Amino acid sequence: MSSITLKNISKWFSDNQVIKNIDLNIKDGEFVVFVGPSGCGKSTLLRIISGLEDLDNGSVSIDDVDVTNKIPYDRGISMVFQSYALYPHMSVFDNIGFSLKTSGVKNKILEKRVGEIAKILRLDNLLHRLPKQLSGGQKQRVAIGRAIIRKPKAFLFDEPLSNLDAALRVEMRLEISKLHKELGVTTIYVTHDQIEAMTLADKIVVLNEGKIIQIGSPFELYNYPQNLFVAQFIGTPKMNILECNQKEGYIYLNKNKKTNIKTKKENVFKIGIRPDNIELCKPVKNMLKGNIKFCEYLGSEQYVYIDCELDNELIVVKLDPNTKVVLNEKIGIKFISKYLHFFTKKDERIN
Amino acid sequence: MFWKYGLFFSILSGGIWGIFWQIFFTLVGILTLGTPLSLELSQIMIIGPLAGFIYIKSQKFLSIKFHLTAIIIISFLIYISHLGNPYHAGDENQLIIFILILSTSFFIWVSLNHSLYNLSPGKLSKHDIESFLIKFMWGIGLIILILITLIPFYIMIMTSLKNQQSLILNPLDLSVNLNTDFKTLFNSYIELFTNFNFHLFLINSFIVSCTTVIITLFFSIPGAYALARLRIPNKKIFSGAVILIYLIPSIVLIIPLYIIFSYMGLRNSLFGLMLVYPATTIPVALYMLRGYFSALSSEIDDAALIDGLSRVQIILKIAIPLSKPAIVSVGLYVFMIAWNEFLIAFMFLDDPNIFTLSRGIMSLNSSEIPQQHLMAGAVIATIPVMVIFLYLEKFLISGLSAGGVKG
Repeated sequence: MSSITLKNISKWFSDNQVIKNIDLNIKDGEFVVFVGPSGCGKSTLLRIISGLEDLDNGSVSIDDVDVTNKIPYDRGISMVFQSYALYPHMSVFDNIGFSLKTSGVKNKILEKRVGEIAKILRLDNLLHRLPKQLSGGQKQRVAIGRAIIRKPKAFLFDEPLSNLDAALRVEMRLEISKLHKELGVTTIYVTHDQIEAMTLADKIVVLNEGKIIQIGSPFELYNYPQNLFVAQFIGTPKMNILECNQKEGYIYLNKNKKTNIKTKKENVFKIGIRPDNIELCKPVKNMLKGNIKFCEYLGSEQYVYIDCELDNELIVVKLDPNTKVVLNEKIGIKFISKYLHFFTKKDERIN
Repeated sequence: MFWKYGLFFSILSGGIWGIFWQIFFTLVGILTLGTPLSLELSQIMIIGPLAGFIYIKSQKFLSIKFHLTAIIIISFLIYISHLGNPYHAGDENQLIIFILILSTSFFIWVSLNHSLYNLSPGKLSKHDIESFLIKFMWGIGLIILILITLIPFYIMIMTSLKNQQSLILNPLDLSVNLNTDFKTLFNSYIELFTNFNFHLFLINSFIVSCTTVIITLFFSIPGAYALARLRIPNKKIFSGAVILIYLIPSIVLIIPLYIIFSYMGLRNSLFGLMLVYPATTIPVALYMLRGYFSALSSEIDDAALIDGLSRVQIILKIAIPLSKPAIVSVGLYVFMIAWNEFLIAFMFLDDPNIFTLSRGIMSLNSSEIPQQHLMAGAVIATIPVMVIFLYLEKFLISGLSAGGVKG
């Protein structure tokens, strides 16, 4: 139950700066998700917070106490790893109780605490088993149990679900969310999976190349991406990005294709529109037109790829699954203008 | 392409198996009869391929009766082709010669049955050729491996059980008269332990070897852990240098070591050996353990760090229990190096009371001491290592780290 403050954090791996001057404030009880493509430094940042990784510059404070030079245990945080990282030679009971045992807690209290945790995580019948006798989900629950038994100031999760299969992942996601609601402990969660990020987070931190690109709630990130990277990173399928120029207020695509999009914004170099915010209609004059090239039917929805002769870029449109799609049919495209995003030449959002 | 046909493979393997078993049973004949036999291969080079040809042509009607007939025919052919005098052994050993020929043909046929089973004589697919080659090589490799380990051991034990008279009479005769009483049979061993201080040598070797193992593991486990886990500047150069030490042959080091140890008064003492042996074994141990430690998931160590363990505690409570098989095998390896080490012991030790086993056996190598004592000494030196190895084998196989991290 505590706040975490990162100030001006930098980290080099030999000559390669993986974390570049990051400042971040995490409030008490908040569920923060670090998200970003692989190699963006999100796991390194988490390891810096946990103390497993030294930092080259800056400071980490927990509850306004500078813990930069403290060892992981003294920071009072606990961590769940991607590979579960259970001790293979110890039973579930010993795995969960290990941290209390090393800090010299008496056996009676230890047994009671482990019992409580096992009950919460439905592990009561498995306490005598070895990790290799458990399924993936059970191992993950043991790892979580090991983390919560210490009543930590904060939980750190390092891609905890990426080794599970799809169905179990959804289940465990819900369980982690429930656990956070129950315990109310500050949580930092690293993932590359944006659905996990969107569903779990109070606050998402999008990282790329060692820098924070945007911080915000899932709603903010989805609807007001501050730049092209966030716009394309959040949301599946990706947002359609089209290069454009402006003449007399109107947007022209591909230099000469006039559209009926009119805006007072200046210096628009790219427009973005999510697949959900495009409507298809009969091709009319002065409207963006194209041929349907591919169609992906997913049951609950379908994605249609339309070739509008825009530098080989296909426009993705999300459709109701009951709409009849004819391949190679010529069709008109209407962007719902209130959902349009405008970007400058430097890929920044224009508000 | 003729070599893609089953017929070719059957003839080839018939030839190879024929030559192989002919050599083998000639050797067996020499060792059991104790008379020199001549090794003749020209006849078997025709009979072997013929057997292969017969086998593959008659695969459809293989039965026990057919097998027996084939074996008898092959034996007959071998006998006839040697004009009734195989091995040039003379007339008095006809029965044993007959048994040798029968076993030669029996094993040729069994080997053919193993490697040619279900092979069609016609054109073969790639899969058929590969499975034939694997079966064939596997058979030959296994038998050769067994032979080169067992034959010297067999000779060693048999010689050690003989008495001086029979040894001089016929050193090649390796049969042992088991009707003699215990005392005469194990005379050499009893002599070694009563008159030649072998009980002392055994104890000395044990002390030196065990200490070497303990010292080696004490230094190489933390060292290997550090090399595998910690970010140390110039780590690569360091670990390369460690291997470089191992590459220097001990014969180069031994003269300077001799001089230095003489000055320091460490020569002619077991303590001196306990200093030198770990110095030669630590680099290897470090290298082997480092490989194993880096294969363990580093996330387990991270979890332990978060659970409040120090690095030393992680080594004791996590790394060592998880790498038990590796540590046991490294320990065993070091033990064997120290146990068998001869050169340094030979140079350093003069006092017969502190001889190690290998040095002790060396001291038996004189014209006054009978040969079988030397062999008995070799057996005494071999058996402890074998016993330890067989006992620890189960540790070597089991891998404990399975299951802790997602596999």
